[in-house]
Amino acid sequence: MPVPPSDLKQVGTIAKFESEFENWKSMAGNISLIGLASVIVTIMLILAPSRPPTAEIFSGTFLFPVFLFIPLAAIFFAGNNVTSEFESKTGYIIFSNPVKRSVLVTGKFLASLLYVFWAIIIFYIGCIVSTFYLYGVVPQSILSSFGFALLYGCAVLGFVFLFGSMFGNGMIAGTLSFLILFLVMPLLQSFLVEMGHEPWYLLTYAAGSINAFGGTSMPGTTTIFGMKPYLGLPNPILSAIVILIYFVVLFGLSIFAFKRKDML
Amino acid sequence: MEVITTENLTKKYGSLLALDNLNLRIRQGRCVGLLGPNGAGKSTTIKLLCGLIRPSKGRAYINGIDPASDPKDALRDVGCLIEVPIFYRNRTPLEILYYLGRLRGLKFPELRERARECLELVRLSQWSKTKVKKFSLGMVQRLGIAQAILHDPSILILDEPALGLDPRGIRHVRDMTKELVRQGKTVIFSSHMLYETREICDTVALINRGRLLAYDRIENLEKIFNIRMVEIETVRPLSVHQLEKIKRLKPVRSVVNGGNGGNIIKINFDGDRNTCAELHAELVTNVGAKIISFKPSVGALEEVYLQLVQE
Repeated sequence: MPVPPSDLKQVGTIAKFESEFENWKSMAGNISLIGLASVIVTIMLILAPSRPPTAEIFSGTFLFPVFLFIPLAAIFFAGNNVTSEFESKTGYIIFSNPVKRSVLVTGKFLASLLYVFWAIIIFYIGCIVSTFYLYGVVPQSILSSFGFALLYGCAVLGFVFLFGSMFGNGMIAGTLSFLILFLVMPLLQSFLVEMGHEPWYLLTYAAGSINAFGGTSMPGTTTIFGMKPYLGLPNPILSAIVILIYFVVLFGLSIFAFKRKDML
Repeated sequence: MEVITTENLTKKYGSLLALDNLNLRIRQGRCVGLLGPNGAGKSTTIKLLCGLIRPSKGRAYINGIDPASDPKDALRDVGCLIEVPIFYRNRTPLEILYYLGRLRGLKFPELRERARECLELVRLSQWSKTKVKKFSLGMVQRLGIAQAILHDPSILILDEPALGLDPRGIRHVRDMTKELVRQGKTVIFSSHMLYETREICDTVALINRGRLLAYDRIENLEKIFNIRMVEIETVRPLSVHQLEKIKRLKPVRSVVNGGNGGNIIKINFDGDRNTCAELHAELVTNVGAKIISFKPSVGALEEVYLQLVQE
């Protein structure tokens, strides 16, 4: 009788299986879309009547869609990943194996993370190439921005996985994540900022560090429903801690929910 | 040694009581048929044993380990087939078996060999590299059986394994299950088909409305319910005179026509296996019946079922 491998090895096996391109055409399509988005942003910035004066501001402007783009990538890539076992009933096969559910959800999370990281990397490559092409330099702060984007990707995936594990439905998981990240949190954030209170504890506020380049903050110049979403620049260290806490707590809760969910 | 035990196992879905204090003890090497009407609690029992759902009350143990709290250790020696399984549509049988094999601790090249053997056994070798989305229901079911036996487990939990199969497939699954039982594996076999259950299992657990109505060896149940039945096929239909003679034989309780133009009759009698042998001798010598086949009838199990499982 074979002995099941360690949890870590099983996580690796699951992550590998889940991240293998089940449908090359669809994956290639997704990656092409990200590349295309990157090219469109570059063209728009080149054709803009006034080009940003510095490479930092240009990069910050270029990366502004990352806010929109990371949650969308997470929802599209991960929404079905975590819920597929319940929705398509493949759980009848996989759950009856000698694998802990925490191991399963971790493997799936890693696979989804890989997709989201790929999307982020492609977009940042677009940013670096166009910034270098136009200004001849690449701001160093793009590295910290990249780090924040990856962290934000983890936290956003945490939301998608939590709702996916709770409801076992990709559509619900995606919609709830979308509502929280694009409506509830930004509105609450803008409202609190209007009141003069810095909502450093909100994920969307902390994620503003993605666009904080060279002492300027692109999000600070935008408005949501006529309200400013930022009160100065988010503190980067505090932001990193906040995003990390969101990730750890949400991921922990999604494991808990996944373990308790009945495979009916 | 008991390999599967349930203690007051209970499952509620909201206000619906799907399983009510189920207590089962299954010994190693037994083949237990789970019988009951739709919604009786058979699938719930199987899902609880396989760790797919959590009990509302009570515990289940496989080799002394609770699959709800420690699925990794509890399910390592178990192969499961639950309903008609659904596989990853864009994967091939080989990819799926390699994935599940790796999770269960099989390593190459043994895994490759074992996957090939299993696919051959379920007659899917020539489709080993075809995506599952192109498979018929029966082919998916056969792949489900292949994955259940991939790691050669000593416990098999099969929920309606013949569902979706054609007559040849049903027979193949029956023969395969019988062979696994013969090899000494412990099998839980859930089915609506009494004939299959009678052919494969030595013990049955009758469940209805979540409650265990009876759990015993089939022959004991037949004895308890005083139902022992044999099905006899003769060369020619028996004459009225011959049938009267049979009815007058001491252990015989009733004789019914079993079909096939009167060539088949079913005899319900009192007694044990020796009585059965004596009955056979009487039929040949005193009644003058030219017997083609003489076998225990599923009718007895059916009678037990119908007596216990009320509408």
